[in-house]
Amino acid sequence: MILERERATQPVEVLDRVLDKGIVIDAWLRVSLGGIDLLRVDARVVVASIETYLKYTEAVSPPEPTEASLPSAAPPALRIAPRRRMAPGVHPAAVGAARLAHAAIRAWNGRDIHGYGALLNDDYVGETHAVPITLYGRGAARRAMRMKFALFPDLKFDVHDVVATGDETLVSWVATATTRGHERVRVSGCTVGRMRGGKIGHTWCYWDAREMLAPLRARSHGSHTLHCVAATS
Amino acid sequence: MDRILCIVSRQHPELFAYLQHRFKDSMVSVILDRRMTARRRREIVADAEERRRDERRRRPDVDADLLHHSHVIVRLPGL
Repeated sequence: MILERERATQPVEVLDRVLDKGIVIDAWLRVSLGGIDLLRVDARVVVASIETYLKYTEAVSPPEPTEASLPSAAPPALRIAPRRRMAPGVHPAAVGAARLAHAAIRAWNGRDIHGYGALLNDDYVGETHAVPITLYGRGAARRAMRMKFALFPDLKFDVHDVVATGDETLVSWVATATTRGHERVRVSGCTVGRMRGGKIGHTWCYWDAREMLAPLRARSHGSHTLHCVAATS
Repeated sequence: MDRILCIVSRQHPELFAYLQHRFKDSMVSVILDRRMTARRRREIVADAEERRRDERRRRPDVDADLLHHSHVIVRLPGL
């Protein structure tokens, strides 16, 4: 005869199981009035250990967005941030390019490395004014993005303006971050993008190096960090 | 349709050259900021006619933005 003794589950075991297996909470909320969407929330929360997350990141990330799946523009009456508006009468290609540019910034600010890569064309090329290192392809772009987040965990882009004309975009931004030496840096710049086949085919990034260097110039340990950022941009 | 001006600070000639080349065939006009500082401008502008012309060109918001940013986007409606 086999006796099985029921054992109470400890909270630590539950936490261990959660971190080992992971939990994905997929929530979707829409509030509409008279057929007009007032609020729409798409949320995906992943709770897991870093090891588990990295192991299953491809599986839990949203599918690659297509042009049709990109978020549509809000009704005119609900639009905010007038500095980011599109000029009336612009070509539909420019609207699509602007939406891609906004989606790319959202991916950066949301630490969504997979999502950002999905916005890039197969033969994506990334350049900066600062260093003669060119990124070729999604993989290189994702690696560079991951390295930037390792250097600046709280890197954030505040978009000041988006100009789209045809397949070209000009995104003006101010980036803020904290270095590993716990110093706040702020730098303004812009990213010029070119769309191909509904995705980002080329980017050229420019920032005010003097503005970024100013608070760090006095401290020698900052120069190494800046070099790393420049080399991975 | 709005006319879009991208005014680039004189401190950033590399950015100006790149944007000018990239947007040369588009609705975006890329120009280098040619305005002088307020003090220098006061010294040079002497007569009333020149002062009126100067007022038309003065955009305090653009001046302030160019002090802190490499470039500024200005939309001129209806041109």
